[in-house]
Parts: sequence; C-alpha cells; structure tokens
Amino acid sequence: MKLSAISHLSFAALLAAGLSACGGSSSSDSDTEQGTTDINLSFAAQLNSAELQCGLNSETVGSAQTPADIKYFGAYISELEVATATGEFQKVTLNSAENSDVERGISLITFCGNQDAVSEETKVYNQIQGTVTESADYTRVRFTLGVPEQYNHLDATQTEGILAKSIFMHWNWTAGYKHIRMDVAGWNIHLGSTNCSGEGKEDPDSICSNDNRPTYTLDNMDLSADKIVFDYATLVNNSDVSMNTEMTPPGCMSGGTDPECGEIFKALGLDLATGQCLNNNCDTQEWVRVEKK
Amino acid sequence: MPRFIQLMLPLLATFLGACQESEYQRLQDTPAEGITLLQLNPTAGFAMPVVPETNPLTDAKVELGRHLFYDKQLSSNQQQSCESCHEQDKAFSDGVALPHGTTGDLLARNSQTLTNVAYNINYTWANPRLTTLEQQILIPLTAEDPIEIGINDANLNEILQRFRDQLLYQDLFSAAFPEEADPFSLANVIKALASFNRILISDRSPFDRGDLSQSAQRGRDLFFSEKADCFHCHDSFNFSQSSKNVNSLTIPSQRFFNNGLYNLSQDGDYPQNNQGAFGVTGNVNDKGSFRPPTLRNVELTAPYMHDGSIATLEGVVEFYANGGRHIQSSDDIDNLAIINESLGLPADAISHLQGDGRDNPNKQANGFVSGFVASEQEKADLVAFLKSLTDREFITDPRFAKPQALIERDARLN
Repeated sequence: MKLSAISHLSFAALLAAGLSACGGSSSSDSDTEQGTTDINLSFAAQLNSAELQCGLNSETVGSAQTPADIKYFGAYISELEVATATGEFQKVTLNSAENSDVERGISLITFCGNQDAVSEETKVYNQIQGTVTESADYTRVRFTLGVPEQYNHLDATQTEGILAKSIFMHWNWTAGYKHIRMDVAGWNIHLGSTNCSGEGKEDPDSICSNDNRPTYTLDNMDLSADKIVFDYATLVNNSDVSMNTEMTPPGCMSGGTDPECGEIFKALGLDLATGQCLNNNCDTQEWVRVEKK
Repeated sequence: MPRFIQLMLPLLATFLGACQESEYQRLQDTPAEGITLLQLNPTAGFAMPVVPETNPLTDAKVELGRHLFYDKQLSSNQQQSCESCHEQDKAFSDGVALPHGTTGDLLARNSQTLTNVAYNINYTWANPRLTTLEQQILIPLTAEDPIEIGINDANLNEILQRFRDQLLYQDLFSAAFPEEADPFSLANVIKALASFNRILISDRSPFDRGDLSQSAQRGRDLFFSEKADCFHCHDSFNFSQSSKNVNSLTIPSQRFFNNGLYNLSQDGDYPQNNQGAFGVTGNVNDKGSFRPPTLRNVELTAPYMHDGSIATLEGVVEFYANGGRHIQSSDDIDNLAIINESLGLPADAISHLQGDGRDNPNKQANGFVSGFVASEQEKADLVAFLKSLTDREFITDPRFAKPQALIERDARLN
C-alpha cells in the first residue's frame, strides 16, 4: 500500500506510542514501513532578511540598488533527498499534495501568482511533505531545481497535476518547462534547459545539452525549526537589474550569449557555457540558504 | 436529434453539394476511421498525415476546433481569434510582414500559412524541438513575449468559462470529448484546434490536376532542374523538405536551411531576434537556418521569408537567382520599417542589417542557393509555376470556413 494512504494523524499517534508502523489500516507488507520518518520542509522567499512582497518591495536590489516590483516567483523542485550528518542521502518519497507529483518526484513552489487576477496560481505553495523509509535525525537536505530531463518534454495535452497546473511554468520554445521563473518588472529570470537538439521525447538523440538544473546541498538544518530561503536579492546582487542589453530578452532567459545571464548563472552556481555546476559543485551559491522559521 | 448533429446538417448539406459539383471525383470512403471531414484528392494521391495516438482525429473534435479557431472569445481580451493571423482567403496567412497579437504586441516572425500543416515534420519557422501541432499550438495560445492569444494562469478559467456558459459549446465540447465529465480544459482546446488544423489539406491546385500553362510547364522544369535547384529544399508532394506522411519511413536529416537572406558578421549572423534554429540549438552552424515552408498556395501568402522582408514572388525568384541578398541600403530590403520596429530601432535604420548574404558561411556550408542565371522569361516561368500551386477550392471550402453558428452569434453580439 502507498504510504500516502495512511493519515498523518495515525502516523503521529503510532510514533508517539513508540510502536512500529503496523496500524490497523495497514496491509500485510506494512513491516517494510518500519521506522518511517516524516519530512516536512518549509520554504520562504526573501530579499535579504525581508520577506518577499508580491508587487513593489521597499528593499532595493542589484548593483544599482533599484526597487524590485515582483510579479511572479515559481520553482520546480525534484530529486529531494535527506541525510544524517554522516550518512548517505536517502530519497524522499513525496506525499500526495496539490503541489507535488508523487510518481515523478517533482514539487512546485510558488510565492506570487499574477497580481492582477485571482486564480489558482495566486496560491502560495511553500511546503513539501514526504517520507523517508528509515528513522533517523536528518540534518542535511539535497535537491535539484527543475523538472528532470525525462519529464521535461512530455506531451502537454497528456500531463496532469503540477506539470499541467501552471501555464506560466511552461517553456514552449523548448517544448519543456522553466525550472525557475522570477518575473520582476522589466527584468525576468527564466531558468530552463537550453541548446536542445533532436525531436523531443520520441527521439533517442534528443537532448538539451545545457541542463541548467542546479543541485543544492544544505547542511546543519533542523528540519522542524528551520526553513529554506530563496533570496532574490542575493541572486541579483552583482547584476544591474535597472538595465538590459538592447535586442536581448528582458533580464536573463538562460541565453548563452545574453550578457545579463553571466552574473545570474554564477550566483546560481552554474556555468553558463555548459549548463552544469561550476567546478562540479553548485554549492558555491549563496542565494538558497537555511534560516530559523 | 442531438444538437450537435443539427449543427452539422447545414454544413454536411453544403459539403455534399460541393462534392457533387466538383469537377473530379473525391474520395468516397473515409480516409481514416470515424473521420469524414478530412478528405484527400485521389488525383493528387496524398497519403494520410500522421495523427498522434494521443489525439485521434474525429469529426466532432474538428468541428469544435473550427469553432474555437474562429472565435475571438478564445483570446484574453476577446479582440483576436486564430483567424486574425490565419485567414482562409489568404490560405490561412495574413498578408502582413509581421503580425500583432491580441494586446497589440508586434511579433518577430511572419504568420505562416496553415496549408497542409498536418504534414509538417517541424513547426514554427525554426524550431527542431516542435514536432506536433499540439506542441506548436501552445505557443500562440500562451506566449507572453510577445503576447499572441494571451491565455495565462490568471485568465484561463475565465476564458474556459466563456465557453462553458454557451449552449453551442456545451454541445461541441461534449460531442468532441464524450468520455469526460468536464471537457472544458486547455488540453482539450489544444486537441480540438490541432484536429481542425489537420484537415486543412490543399491538394486540388491546377498542378494537381495536371492543368499547367506552357509557361508554368517550363517553370516546373526549371524548378526541378539542377540549374535553379529549388527542389532540394522544396521537394516532394508538399514542396517542403519538412514534410512527412504515414508512409514516411525516415525523415530528412537536414530540415533547416540558411538561404543567405542576411550576413551580419563572420559567423553569418542574422538579426538578433531571428537567428533561426540557433536560438534553440545554440549551435553556430544553425545561425540563419529556417524551415522551408510548403510552396502550395504561395501566391496567396505574401510577403515572404520568416520576417516578411521580400514583398513579392517575383522578388523571391530574383533573390534566389542572385544566390542570396546583399543589403547595402534600404532599397535592398522590403518592409524595413516594421522589421526595425520589431528590433526596437528607428524606422529607417539600416547599418544593423548591412552585409552580403551571398557569402553567409552557413549558406555556403549547405551547398544550396548558389544562384543561377535566368532570362526574364525564365523568371516569369518560375512564377507561373508557383502560381499553379494555388488551390482555389481550398480557400473557399466550407469545411474550413467560419461556422454559421458563430457568424450568427457574433452578429447578435455586435
């Protein structure tokens, strides 16, 4: 049976009672669920230490210290794993939720919908919940920003759940998705896989050679007391978001020759030329960090 | 009798009438199970287009798609429909160099004909990634920069509600998607529009009837000669290397070509907002590489090229005879003002476009478009041949026209 079929309430009760998880609702294979740990992650969006406001923020950002008028902020999170201080990383199986695709292991995090209309996407999705099959004190979190390549080019008329949820997160020109989308008046950041050849998913030679999917590891985290912060101000700290090179997309849309992408990719921990982590390690980045809730 | 069938009756009546009056026999048996609206001319002998298994073709989906295609209520502000850029009398193109979207944004590329779009291997002007109509249709529906039809997360439900609220569409949607409790979704809008696009088959031109003037016959021979060499990119039943049908075992490895329209640098650059397939692949050899469009109905789809920068068919023939375009002054490029507008530059700016396209390294690498010497008569013959691909039945076919129910509804609303 699926873990998600058991309510949190029964888990909590069972764990509190110190019993192994073999509650009355379980089926005969329940002993494989022994020692399951619930993983509840909270996310927040900030400008330095200030909470990100949808619309005009009082906090100024970038090398020219200009105001940020934030229209949309969304990110896909995949390949979520946790580890103890010294142990191996364990896969987190996502719980069924409005912003999670359990089967594909992808969640959608959003902080601002469209400011001009009330819609599904004005909802804030800032939680990811799942389980790990071993009971332990997990203090490290690892995840990838973006939709994994094998799901990045599915037929849009066949997708359901979070891959169908948001038109804003589609990246139609690559027949794919945006891994991260931050729309800030006149200066957007759209991160997605680029340098694509081949015919999409039907074609074995199909590949977007520049993945542009950073993997981040966060250490020393108290999963229940801490939150994971996306700090837009740190991301654009070395970019002048008040100006854009003529005849290039406004801001950085992952273009390999777009001057506005240089500093943004560095801040993401990515090599603009290859789309891989700088020196095989994206953790040079500082814009995603752990803070007390 | 279900309302859907009632809606269909006038259409079928017109359609059967048209069949009886047609000067040659149309297919009597249906070319695919459950579909009568897709018709092929046996004289031309087209094979069926490939239909994705995820979106089987049905008359009901085609009919829903036809209504959505002509309905301005599909756009965010209800100012434009698909037809705004794809008009039947222009073989589903629009007659302008660059179109505007429903909120007034200027697009960077010319509206393509929808002639035989079901047979395309790739979609849009220069995107190797887009291989189905379903993928392509997301672009005009949901593109944001520039905005075309303008559907987004914020307005999708409101737009779907416009259709949910009309008896006409309640019937059309439930007929098209009978298995679904709530068939009003973006995915189904896309499936229906793709289905309507798939029946837009043009195979009834004078060329298909073997009805060519002397001049057009000479033009045909020149077109298929090594001298003019048009057929390397514009070959087969659809006059495009980017075509396939159910019988295609392989697809051509090269489907995008640089034809020497621009040459702005050592690398063969095109204007920054129109670098061809390079924009997708990031491979410098793909700079200026575009998909050769079908030449069927080309007479009706001026102006030409991905940016509308050649105004007439005669100009296109001249361009190919020259083996590319050498831009020195504003006399060397048509529709300059609007192309500059799309680049955000003053109307008469020219220095950013100057260069000799005949020397474009990516064109040289193709080995095509090397130019040819032709007399004025030969050039006129080529144009005459191209005009023999004009399909007058296609542009008047009631199967493809704005539905009567919408004409009447719009008359009531205005």
